[in-house]
Amino acid sequence: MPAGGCGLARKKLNFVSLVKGGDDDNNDDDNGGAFAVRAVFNVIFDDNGGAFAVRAVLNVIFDDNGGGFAVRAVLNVISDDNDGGAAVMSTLTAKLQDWIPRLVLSPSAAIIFVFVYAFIIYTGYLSLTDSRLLPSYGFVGLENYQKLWALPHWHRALLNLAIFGILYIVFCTAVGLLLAIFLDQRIRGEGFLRPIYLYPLALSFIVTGTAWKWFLDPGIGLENTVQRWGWEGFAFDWIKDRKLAIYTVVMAAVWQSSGFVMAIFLAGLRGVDDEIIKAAQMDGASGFTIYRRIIIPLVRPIFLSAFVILAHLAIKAYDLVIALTGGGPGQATELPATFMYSYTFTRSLMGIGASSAVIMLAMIFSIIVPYLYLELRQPKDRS
Amino acid sequence: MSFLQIRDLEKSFGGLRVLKGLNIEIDAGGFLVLVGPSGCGKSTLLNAIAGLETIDGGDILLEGRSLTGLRPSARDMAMVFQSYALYPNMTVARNIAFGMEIRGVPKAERERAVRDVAETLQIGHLLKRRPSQLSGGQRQRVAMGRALVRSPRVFLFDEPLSNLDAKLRVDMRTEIKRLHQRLGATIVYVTHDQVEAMTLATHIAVLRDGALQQFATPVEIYNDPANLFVADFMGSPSMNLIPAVVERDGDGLVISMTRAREDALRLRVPQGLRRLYDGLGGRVGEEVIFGMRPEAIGEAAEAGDGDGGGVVSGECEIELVEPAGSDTYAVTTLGGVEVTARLRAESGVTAASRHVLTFALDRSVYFAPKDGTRLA
Amino acid sequence: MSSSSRAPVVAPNRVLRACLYATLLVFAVYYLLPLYVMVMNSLKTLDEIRQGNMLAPPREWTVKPWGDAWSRAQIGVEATGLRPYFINSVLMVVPAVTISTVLGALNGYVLTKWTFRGANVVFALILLSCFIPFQIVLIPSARVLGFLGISGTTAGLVLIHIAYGIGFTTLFFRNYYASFPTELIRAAQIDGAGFFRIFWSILLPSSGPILAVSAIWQFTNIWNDFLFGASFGDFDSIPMTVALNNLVSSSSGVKEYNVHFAGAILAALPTLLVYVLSGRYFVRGLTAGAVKG
Repeated sequence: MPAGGCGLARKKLNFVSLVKGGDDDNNDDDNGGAFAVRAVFNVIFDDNGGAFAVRAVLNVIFDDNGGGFAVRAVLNVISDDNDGGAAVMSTLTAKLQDWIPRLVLSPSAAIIFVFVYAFIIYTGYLSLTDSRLLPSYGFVGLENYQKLWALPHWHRALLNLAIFGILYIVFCTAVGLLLAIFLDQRIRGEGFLRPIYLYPLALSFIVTGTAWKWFLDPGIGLENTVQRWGWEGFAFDWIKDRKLAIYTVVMAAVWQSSGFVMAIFLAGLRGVDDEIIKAAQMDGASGFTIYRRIIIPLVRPIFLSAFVILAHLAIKAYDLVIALTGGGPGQATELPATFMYSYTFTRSLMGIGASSAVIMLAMIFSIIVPYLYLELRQPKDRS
Repeated sequence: MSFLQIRDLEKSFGGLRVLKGLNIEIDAGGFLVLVGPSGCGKSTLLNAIAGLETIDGGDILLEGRSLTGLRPSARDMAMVFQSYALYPNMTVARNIAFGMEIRGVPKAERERAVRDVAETLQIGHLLKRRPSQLSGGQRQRVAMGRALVRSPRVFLFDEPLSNLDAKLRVDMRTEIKRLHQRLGATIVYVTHDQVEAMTLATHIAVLRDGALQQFATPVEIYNDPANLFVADFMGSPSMNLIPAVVERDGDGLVISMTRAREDALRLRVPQGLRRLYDGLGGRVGEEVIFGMRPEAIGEAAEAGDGDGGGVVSGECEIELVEPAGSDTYAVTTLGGVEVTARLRAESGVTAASRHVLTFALDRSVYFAPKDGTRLA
Repeated sequence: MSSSSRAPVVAPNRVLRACLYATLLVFAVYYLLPLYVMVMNSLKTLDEIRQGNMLAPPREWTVKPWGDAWSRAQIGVEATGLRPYFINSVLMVVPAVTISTVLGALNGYVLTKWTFRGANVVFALILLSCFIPFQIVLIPSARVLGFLGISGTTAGLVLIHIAYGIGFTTLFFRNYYASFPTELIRAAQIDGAGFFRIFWSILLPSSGPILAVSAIWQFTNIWNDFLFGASFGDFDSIPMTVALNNLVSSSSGVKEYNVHFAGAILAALPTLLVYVLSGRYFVRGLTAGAVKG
């Protein structure tokens, strides 16, 4: 307690011993790391009056009581007035304590600020310049955007994104909801089935792409196998077909992600109050009606969550296309993400690449920002 | 000088003023109860005393020294929380010793202190358990143990009994009272339960919307409420608050209350009750709220009609009789509200019949209907 | 996710339930088939793959493709197999997961228990970073890594993965700590514990599940990353996914499908293993952001 601490400290008037006194009091501390850091600072700053402030800060940061001794003692020495010293000490430590949370958060905040927001601004600026192989700062206004929208290649990427995105979202949601409802019927072996539906999520898109690329390959995959079974006329060569290749991307993506949608729907279904269902059963509602009229409306927010997450994954989709088709055949499976990469790094048209990235960001933010706004607002309204 | 002093305390959250210039002080060994409905600011005030909330104005002084800027641990106070706030990852013994551990108290001393406290609270057999293995009442004891072991200058209790069932609550209430008497500790105790407030406190501060309504002893609060809010909030069963009109009859005053299907009940104020004449003399013809505790209304027995002890009587229709063991409550309607009289258990009063009730006007209080201020 | 089921909503009609099980089994086959095909064909000789039925188990079992994929296959210019890249991935994943999880835990602690004015805005900005398309940061990231002298190194990739992982870890810990009783923090403050002591002695011992969720999520995401690895990796830092893609899509020589499959399984093995060992936490991470309450 303060009184004891002051007494102890006042006996040792030189600074080094004061600090050591603080350390002694701290031997009980579990926090070995803090102890080591303080020891290092003692070595560095020993006998250096200028270290007062630094050491005070460190003590307050790394320690809760023992460190207070040193600060308190220092201030007592300075002010030579015990009561006043204690008060000043308290205010000072309290102030520093107030700042610790912000100090702790600041590295992360700084990283996010630089690597996310500053980078977005930088890329945004590049999209207005004549950058080609390397960034260049000749301002050209919206020229890159005009060029971008004149490119058939970009239109192809957007069209593919629309096809891919819509089918990906619809199929994932349909399969996910179906599996979730079926699994919710007190299924024997649920603990066995559920992990099977989910494991693709643990895989890299590159692995998924490798597997499906071969599976869909007409020469050695499904087509070949079925033909060998005797259906000679069976043809399944979508992956080589310019018109149909994008649908193979959908197949592989749905295979990978539908388990996720199943998981969130199942969690939602399980969260529906049992008594509501019992009440509906007492009212004579059939199983189908209970789902259609009561349970599915109750999990409506999950449709929104699933949509938002799947939509943003669709816009970001890159790895899978690279591994499955490499964007081909031709430009048949080019998506904005692959377009950006090839324009920026392969074709050395960085300005156009940057402008396509800005448009991707705008697409995602127009979905995510309103969603997050709603999500973050609601708990506040409730309390 | 008072031991703990709260001076002009101000606190706002955002733009909302939650503590509005509070002034409260108690002496060493006092038991201060902060009471009021939820959202009245009582917990905020307690947290401000503990140092868990900063304050925006005024000051809190302990033994004449300001606590402003002192960290919670530097204030030499212990707190018992509503949820008990036991560290889930530590045994009972470590929960109790954690504060000492941080202060660097040697192990042997810590163990001795834990043993002593465990003995006081009879939780010795629980020391090696974890909080999740304890019942509600046991957790409550451990939480008290954690506070006791520090022998602080002030104990702070934040609704400590509200999570216990009714019986346990009464037991723990008695135990807290006993501890207070034995230790002579200074206690600040928050509750929304006015029975707890009445039984435990040496002083009660009634709060409403962040403003102090009344600060007084339990007896004063009960018998002499400062305003309509305090009168209504404190006491169980609560005070009868009857709309009435003050009338003049010759040189005396009459309290008149309407009744259904019959003439108004008119109670003559005895000449000896100067307090009522002073307070109500200027209110003739006006409506007031006439407050009577249920036990101030009784059965006509020995006290007759007249100016004697300040007790007057009137015949009333009894609508309902509720025997409650030690007492019997009789209900009638006056001034459009239900009025409860607290009668002896062996009372012969029956429902749906007329009886003469006595009104101890010397114990009656009066409020202005508009703003609830005390008139007499 | 709760594994308990309630009374079945659909009446226990025999035919209906048979259909139900049939559907669920068909989907199980659908999800398992690609893995089955990969495993089976990674154990066949190349000749057998070319002529044979992809669904049939090997007639002649061989583990040679696995050995080739691990230590002999041609990737890029050298025939090193995937081993060095596997090591690159491990060296990248361990520090990136550790640091981002520690930062996330501290951020979650500050953002729930030590809030200050503007903390919600900071959180919103951190959270938003989870959703950006990485194409928007590729060019400046390359510049900054170059400026810091760590382009093409594992350290550079670690930094990148920390930067774009903090959002997730912060979200996990913030949600978890939000339901941690604030009274416990207050009790510890009164006991004299400060910021770090409370974190270390009170919160961390109760954080096991969320540490697992966060670490598994980060591990899976970083191990499986391709875009950053492909953009910023150099020979001694290229991660497994990029090496696998190089192996599979290299145009030179004969396509050794069995080796490709073995390589793909090797690349998937660590995350699959984590999934099998701790699927519960894996699923919790997936659903953390999506399901409220």
